[in-house]
Amino acid sequence: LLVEILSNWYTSYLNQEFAYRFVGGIIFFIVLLSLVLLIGILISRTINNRRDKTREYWHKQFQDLLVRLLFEPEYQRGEPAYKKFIKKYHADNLPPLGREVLVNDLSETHKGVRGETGEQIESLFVDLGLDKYSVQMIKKGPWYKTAKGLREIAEFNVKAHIKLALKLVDHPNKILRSEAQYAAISLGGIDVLHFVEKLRTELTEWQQLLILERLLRFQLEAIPDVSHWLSLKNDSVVIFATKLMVQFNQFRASGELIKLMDHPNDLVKIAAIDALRRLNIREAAQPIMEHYYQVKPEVQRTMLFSLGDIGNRGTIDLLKKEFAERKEFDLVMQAGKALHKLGATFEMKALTRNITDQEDMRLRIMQHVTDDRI
Amino acid sequence: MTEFDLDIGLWDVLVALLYNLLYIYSTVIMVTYILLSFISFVSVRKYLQKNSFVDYRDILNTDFAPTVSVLAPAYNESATIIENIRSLLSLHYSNYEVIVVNDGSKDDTLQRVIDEYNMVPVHYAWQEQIKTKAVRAVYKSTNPSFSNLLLVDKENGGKSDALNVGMNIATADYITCIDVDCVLEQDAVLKLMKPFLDEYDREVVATGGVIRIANSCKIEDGRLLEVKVPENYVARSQALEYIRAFLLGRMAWSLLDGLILISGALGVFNRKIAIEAGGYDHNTVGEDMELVVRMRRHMVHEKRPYTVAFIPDPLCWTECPETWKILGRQRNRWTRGTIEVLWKHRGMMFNPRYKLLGLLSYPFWFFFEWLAPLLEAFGLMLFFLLAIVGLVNWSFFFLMIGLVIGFTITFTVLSLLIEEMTYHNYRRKRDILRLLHVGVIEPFVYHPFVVYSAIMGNIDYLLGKSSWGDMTRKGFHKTPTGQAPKIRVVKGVTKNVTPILKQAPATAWIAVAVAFMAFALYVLLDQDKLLLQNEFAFNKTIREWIEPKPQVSKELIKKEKELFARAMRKSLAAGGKSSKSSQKATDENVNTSASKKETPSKTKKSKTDKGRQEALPTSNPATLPMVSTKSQRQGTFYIVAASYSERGNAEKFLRDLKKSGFKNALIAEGDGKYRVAFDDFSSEERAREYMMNIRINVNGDAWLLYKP
Repeated sequence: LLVEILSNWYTSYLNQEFAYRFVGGIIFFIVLLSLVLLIGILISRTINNRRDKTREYWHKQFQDLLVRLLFEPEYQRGEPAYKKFIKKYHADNLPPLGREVLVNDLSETHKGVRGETGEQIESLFVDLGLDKYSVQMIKKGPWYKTAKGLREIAEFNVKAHIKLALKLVDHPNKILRSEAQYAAISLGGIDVLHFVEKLRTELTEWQQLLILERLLRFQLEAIPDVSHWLSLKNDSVVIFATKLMVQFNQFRASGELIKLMDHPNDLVKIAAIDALRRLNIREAAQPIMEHYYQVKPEVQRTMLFSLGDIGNRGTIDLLKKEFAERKEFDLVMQAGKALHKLGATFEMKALTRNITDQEDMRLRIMQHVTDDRI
Repeated sequence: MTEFDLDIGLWDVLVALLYNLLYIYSTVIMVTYILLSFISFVSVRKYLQKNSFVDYRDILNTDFAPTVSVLAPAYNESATIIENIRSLLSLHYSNYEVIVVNDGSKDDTLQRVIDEYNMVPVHYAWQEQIKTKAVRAVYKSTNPSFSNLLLVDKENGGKSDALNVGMNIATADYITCIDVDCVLEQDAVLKLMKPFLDEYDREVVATGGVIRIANSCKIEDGRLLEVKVPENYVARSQALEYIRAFLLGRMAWSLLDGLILISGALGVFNRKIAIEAGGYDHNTVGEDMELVVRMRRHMVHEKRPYTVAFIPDPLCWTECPETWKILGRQRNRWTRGTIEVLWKHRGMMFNPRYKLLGLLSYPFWFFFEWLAPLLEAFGLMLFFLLAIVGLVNWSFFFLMIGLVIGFTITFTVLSLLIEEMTYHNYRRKRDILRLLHVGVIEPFVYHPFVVYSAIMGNIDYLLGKSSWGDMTRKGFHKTPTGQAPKIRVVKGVTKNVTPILKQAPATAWIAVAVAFMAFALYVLLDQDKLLLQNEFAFNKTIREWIEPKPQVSKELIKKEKELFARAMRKSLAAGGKSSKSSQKATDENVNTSASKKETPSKTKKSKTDKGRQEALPTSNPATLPMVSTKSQRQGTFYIVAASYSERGNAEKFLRDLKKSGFKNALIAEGDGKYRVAFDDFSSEERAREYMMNIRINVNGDAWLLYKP
């Protein structure tokens, strides 16, 4: 009966005009597609749920063991219990999902610890053979797998593979090179920092922050002098160099920083002036004042802000002038703040003494900068 | 003029054009959505791949991270404000401040914040770069733990005004605009800031994030604990709608770099560019979209390379309306906002200067976001009109309805699949089933309401209404002591559901059942019979009522009848026999006045089956009732198929008919006309049925002759 009905339907369908057959065909396709999509949801859910359960299972397996491995003496490296664990949970013996969970667990634990325990986790990563899979991802995977592999070797400090990272630090794929730079710095620290000066690609702010964060993890007292980077053509590297100089207190190269006030790129100028302020280079006050009227208001704003920290009595006249005469709110505010910081609050108040309009910008700014609750 | 001298009126052309336009429009909209969903899927996958190894916490502790001001406008938010500020203060980011702007609340929002966070008024100076309503006071906390919290009290001026005040007061490079009732993921600002830091050659003017529905979700201390599908039908429909809109729509536009809407509930903007562009517009209710469009235009005019980014991660959970009334107000407002933005920036339409923005994004919003509900309503009205006049091709109508509903449901299922494959937010099987259920009944209940609200929005816009409408929020559940409990369930807005609409799911199922029955009837019944009954029972009467019979004198009719009868008798006596259908026949005098009553589908059909239709007679059948419809006589019945003024043409058609198998076809001469008729019918009933088929499917003016 069903065959007959279907056959009748099909015959009737074929007898229809083209428009009917066309729309009918699309509807049939849509219904079929809906069913396929529904099955897709079902499969996806099943896979996801199964993955979640399996993840949960492996997570439970590893959690207890990791705690024991890290904190119980009988599980120390070289002990039979340790060897037994390594044998049982060696990466080659684990399914891909188990490996993924193990890496995640190790990573999460690693992020929360430092020192000896951190090193123990790093050794564990290698002893479990997980580094082999990371390298495999770097060498053979698509770009996002490569990036993930780089992240893993960086995370667990697998120094043996630093060359893989260094090869990719100037890769055309922005994400890949960012991860490679991250890995290179993580593994090589200041020894490989020189790759930065050879970069042909730009360093985004995100990349700069990542590298800086990695360097800070080494708790270094100092890094090699990077002042020669200030003359590089890659502006992003120049800006990064100013940040490095601040972070590692390289105040000896202040002369090079001061020279950057003549740089054609305003962003570089701003970065240099900000670095001078953060490095507390008081000699920069005079050059700042000399350059003050030659730069754009955005740069002037940073200059005024910096003068609040590195200025002296000699800069007060400029600040007072700016406070009293400028129309740009931002500049007046920065001048007012600088005056207050330099202890010239009285002079600033004197400038506003005759103002009767309570809504006057200068009066309001004076009240703002002298209000200690803000 | 065709070979057959068809008399097609302006009305026919207009209707045909309209029908075809509607078909083209529907096809384009469907294809566009399919393309967008495909692009979205690619975009989401790419994003997930790109971010699968990123640890946002890497930049948490650095002093070099750019500063961000989180702007939270609050109006009568007393019920939720404390917990929401707490949630904002616990965001993961190093350099940020929270600026809460009390927009002249009538309740105790201000006092609650002052008391809870030990706020005191300070001498805070700022520049009014964007004109706003007066600010009454600015407060800072005396508690150092809340040193990054600023409270601004101002006169009521609406959300745009409050955000502009925040923008004026903010000192950071970037501003995050949020709805204060939203629950943000703790990494929201970090994630939204990444695109700003990740670009070097072009400026990122804004970043938006995915908004999800928080109704029925479990929330603790401003943090989302468990995601659930809303219990309430209206909210559930919106949950589905949001998944579709954000996951399948905005991600695609983001990849194409044509995104022009960043939800007011969560967005990060470059403060300097936002101020340069003029900040939020006070005069529109679609201020979020308007600002993005204006910022984009500003960058184009300044010739600065830029982009607008979008993050598919669900970063913000918001309460949505749970009643039809409030939902209607919201959609009404959204429609007015869309119109205002489109009108204000109409110069962008197909303007190559704006590249993809002017050539694709703006037209998309114009044709598919604003025009779609209007066309849908117009189509519905046109359908009723045509149904009354009897010009609806029912079988095709049902097919098209099936197509549209099928497409909608498929699209919904696709969005759920993508959600499953990417974020898998709804863990319980029940939740997905409920969303699927909503997806099936949505075309019958929720969608019509949204279209209705959009129409009302258009009307209100024309009437000059510009209010926001109240959004009454339920807030958190209170314990008997009046304290907010540790765990809350978001209950959404007030539940004053009207009795009829309260039964929405039931109504929806009835609608589905009715549609199914109609479809079953359509399948089971003989299609021709259905059409025949329709022609007899309803349309004919109405048609005659709408189109009065031509004023032909009784004498003329009588004369014509006699002439025909005589001609037929003579012709039959001469031994002429009948025939079957035709291919082509020409006559410069074929009268096709009845074609004015053709449906567009029939007109279309005439193009594909020209010869047959155009050769058939077209004089008004009402003037030539050769056979009474009530008689049941025995004899031979002829169907007159065509009328010619030249015998040669009639003979040519006759030959064609005979070639086609109508061996008994004949020519009846009279009154200077040559009518070609054919028979094969010994039963009047069968002849009449055949004639009606011709009338309905080919030509409305076939008629019968009878030979006893």
